[in-house]
Amino acid sequence: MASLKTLLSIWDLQEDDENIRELFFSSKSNKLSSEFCSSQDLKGDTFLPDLEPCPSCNSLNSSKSSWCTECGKSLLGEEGRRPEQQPKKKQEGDFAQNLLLDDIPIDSHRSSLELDIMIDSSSTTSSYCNGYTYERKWGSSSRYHMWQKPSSLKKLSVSSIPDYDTEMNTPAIDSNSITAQEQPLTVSFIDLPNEILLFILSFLSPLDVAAFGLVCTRFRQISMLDYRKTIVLRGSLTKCRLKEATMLQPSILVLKNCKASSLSVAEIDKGISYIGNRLKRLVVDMCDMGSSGSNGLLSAVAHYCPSLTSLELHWTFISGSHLLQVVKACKSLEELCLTDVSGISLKEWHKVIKRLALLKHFHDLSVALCPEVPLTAFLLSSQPLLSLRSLKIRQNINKVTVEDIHALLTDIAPNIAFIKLECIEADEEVLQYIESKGIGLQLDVMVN
Amino acid sequence: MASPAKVTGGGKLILISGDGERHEVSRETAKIFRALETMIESLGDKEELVEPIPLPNVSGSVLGRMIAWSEHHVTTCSFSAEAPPSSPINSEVPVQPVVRPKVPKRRQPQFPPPDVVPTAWEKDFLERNREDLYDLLLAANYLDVKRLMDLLCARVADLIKGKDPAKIRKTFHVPEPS
Repeated sequence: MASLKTLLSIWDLQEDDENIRELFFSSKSNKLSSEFCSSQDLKGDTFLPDLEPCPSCNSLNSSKSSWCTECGKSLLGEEGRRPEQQPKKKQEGDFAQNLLLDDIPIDSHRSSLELDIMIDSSSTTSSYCNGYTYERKWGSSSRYHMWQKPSSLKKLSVSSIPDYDTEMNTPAIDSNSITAQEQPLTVSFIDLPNEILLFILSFLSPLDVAAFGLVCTRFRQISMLDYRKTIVLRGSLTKCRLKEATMLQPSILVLKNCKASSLSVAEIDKGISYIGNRLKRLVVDMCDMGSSGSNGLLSAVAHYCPSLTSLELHWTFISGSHLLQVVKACKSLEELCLTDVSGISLKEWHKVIKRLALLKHFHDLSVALCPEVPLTAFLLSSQPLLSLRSLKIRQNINKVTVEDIHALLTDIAPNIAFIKLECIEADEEVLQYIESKGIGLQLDVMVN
Repeated sequence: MASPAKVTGGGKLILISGDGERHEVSRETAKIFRALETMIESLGDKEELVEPIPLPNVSGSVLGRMIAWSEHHVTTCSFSAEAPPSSPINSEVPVQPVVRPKVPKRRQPQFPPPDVVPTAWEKDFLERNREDLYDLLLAANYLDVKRLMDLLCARVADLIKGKDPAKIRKTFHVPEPS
């Protein structure tokens, strides 16, 4: 029960609570949603920190916090301790919980029986997550829930298992009990808060994450929060399969060798609508869904998934207007990779590139085996693509001249750092020119 | 067991651990703890901070080791705490020293996160603290020491790598589901 609440708190917090609630209700497992509902009423289960009046301004503060939330004055005595000294042992025992609870300002305006405690976004959780993918925001509106009852925290030796899960009431019989006795303060792996476990998972391959998820209920729920969740769909794609996959809200969706010609555009649209804002990367590879199907997929993505950062399309037929829709809607698009994609006219390429120039984070464009020539579209672009760093174009150009490259480097993409061109013919000076610019270049000249 | 700071320059700070141990550290050393960084910077040039800083979530022995860690990283300076770990994308795209118009900093996807390679000293440090890895992990999280956090998590992840659920359960003493 308590673990579920924590899971809610570390869910991707860009969403508001209603989304989370909705998600839990829409979840297939009845157990999950029923647990969620009943957790709202179970106030006695939650630990309420003791409140203590501030000596200078009389506002209530957590007895564990060192500073008053209202006036900012220290609540500690002169020796750095509280005036009424807590027993030392208890302080030690609360080690892990302190980490979660300490200095959480308790809003005095809220009812003291409130389940949730607002925590400051600048606290420890945000910092180590920020540098990582997608910059998870542990916003200030995040709800923080206790995952351990105070009673289970008297002594954090290995033998005292916090009852984060009702299914595990049996205390662990530890083979290392000797070391546990010598060092009663030692925290064990399962005492780590979920955020840290989630961070540890980011070092693992998806296979290991899956194995980790099979260990116990709590770990499974954590592993489901792993932000790199990828779902690969192969084979014939039915309405149900698409819905099942999208209901899990993967951040990466791969459709590979799918047969989806039986799906109507409306069904695809419905299927994608379940993913919502969570989808970061979409790969469509060798899918047989007809031109209307792939176009429908793109317009659904443009409508439902504005936070898409990477789009890869291989061997499909799409119309330029639908690609344009995606580029217009997904403001945080970073990568676009098109291989063997037909159906985009030169005029539409112009429009797409014009739009790409407006995207702040767009840095990677890779186009291969497309009938129309995006390099020409590039050279005619009126706006520079300031953030573009990497450009790969394959087999579309008959001849590359120094003038082309010069225009590309100076006017169109001044910040480019890597170019890969595969062409049929190239001036010899092109290589020398690019070397003199100090830019990583791979120039493959195909000899007929 | 107050460990005297070796680094001179900047006033001294007194940190008090959860069980009441006093540790004296130099300002530069304490700056490695990013949780304290802003506070220290706001002190300005004041010679000495009289009031001790309470760190109630960190036990004395763990704090001693955290200080040893930060002292090492202040003195060696071989490793910059702020340097972003190099990603596979970075290795492909050489960074240009040429001055160019400012572009918005792009967010780099890191799949998987870069391997964290510890230096010899760091390896030794982790080896010495094998017993209470998780205490250190909690302290590193609390004091916001990113490099230590990465190393420790990578180490714990190594324990999980390539194991089946039963083995993981055994390694971490997770009780069998009833």
